[in-house]
Amino acid sequence: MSNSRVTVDATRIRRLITALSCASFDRFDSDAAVITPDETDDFGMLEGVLAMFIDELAVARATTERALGESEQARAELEERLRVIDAQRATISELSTPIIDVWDQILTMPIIGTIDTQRAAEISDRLLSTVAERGAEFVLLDLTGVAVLDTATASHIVRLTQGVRLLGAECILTGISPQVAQTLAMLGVDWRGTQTMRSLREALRYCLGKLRGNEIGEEDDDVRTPARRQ
Amino acid sequence: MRFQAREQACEIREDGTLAFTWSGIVDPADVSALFHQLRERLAGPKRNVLWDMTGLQLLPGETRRRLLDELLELRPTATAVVASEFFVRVPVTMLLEVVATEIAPKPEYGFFETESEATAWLSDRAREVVAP
Repeated sequence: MSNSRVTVDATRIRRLITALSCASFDRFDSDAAVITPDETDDFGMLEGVLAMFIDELAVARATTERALGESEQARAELEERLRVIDAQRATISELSTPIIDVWDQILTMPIIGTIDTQRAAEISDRLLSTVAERGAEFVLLDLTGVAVLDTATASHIVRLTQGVRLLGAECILTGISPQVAQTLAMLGVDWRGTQTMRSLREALRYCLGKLRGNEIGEEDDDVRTPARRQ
Repeated sequence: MRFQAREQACEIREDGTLAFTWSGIVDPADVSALFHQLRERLAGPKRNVLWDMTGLQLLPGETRRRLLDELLELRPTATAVVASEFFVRVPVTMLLEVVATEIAPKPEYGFFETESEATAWLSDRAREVVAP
């Protein structure tokens, strides 16, 4: 490039300004964004450099837009997966602690596995609203499926029984295994006021007896029938 | 009739000119708010626009994009800008150049030192439109 002065027509300068302005607003497809360099003078080199700059800027912008689009799509897919996982978790939670209407005014809830704070809140929420809705008199919490009991799980169960009692129903724990009983004795959880029975069958017999206002004898078929189903 | 969006203002003058006063750092939300108020009142033929930018500090990129959208909808016939600072004229030139490429017939624009010069130029443009 020579050091000589360059005289340029004002329209060429104006075209550059327009093209750069269009590029600054992402109007790369506009005809006004196209610079056609005049190769006969040094100003043409500036036009050529700016034309190439705008072309490369358009490609870079398109690449960025595509990446952003893909990222947005990936985020949407991830959100959808999380939504599905949440729904599945809720279903699993519901299935793992079913509330069974075992008899008139008698609900039973078999508890399986450990209970963390979140699960305890869900169980408590579901059980207490079911007790209130159905006007249950008795709730049998069956721990047959609980192999190991830690302090937190035990505390959650105690609170659950207290909640049931506050609603005016009687809560009975059943199916406590010898290992769980041993653990419970060592954990120091306050079980006062929590009624326990050896089996679900025994608890059911007790509840039916109370409902009928007398102790159920061994000969009462109405009591035996549901108990044998276990 | 005068509209306001925080520091920014617009007045519809008797001759139909939309006289904007842009001050400080213009927020895109203020642009939208101002044009929203305007759209509810505007009807009829295309308008001349006067921009007083003597109190402008900054016209950020996002604000320019918002202004471009609004101006393409407004379709001004001519825009007179009162601004002497180079840093104001550059982004406004970029904006109005793009407006000119997307509206037909191509709207004119010009920069002026004073409002009276700008108003006189707009009057000339209006006369040319009425009697070409």
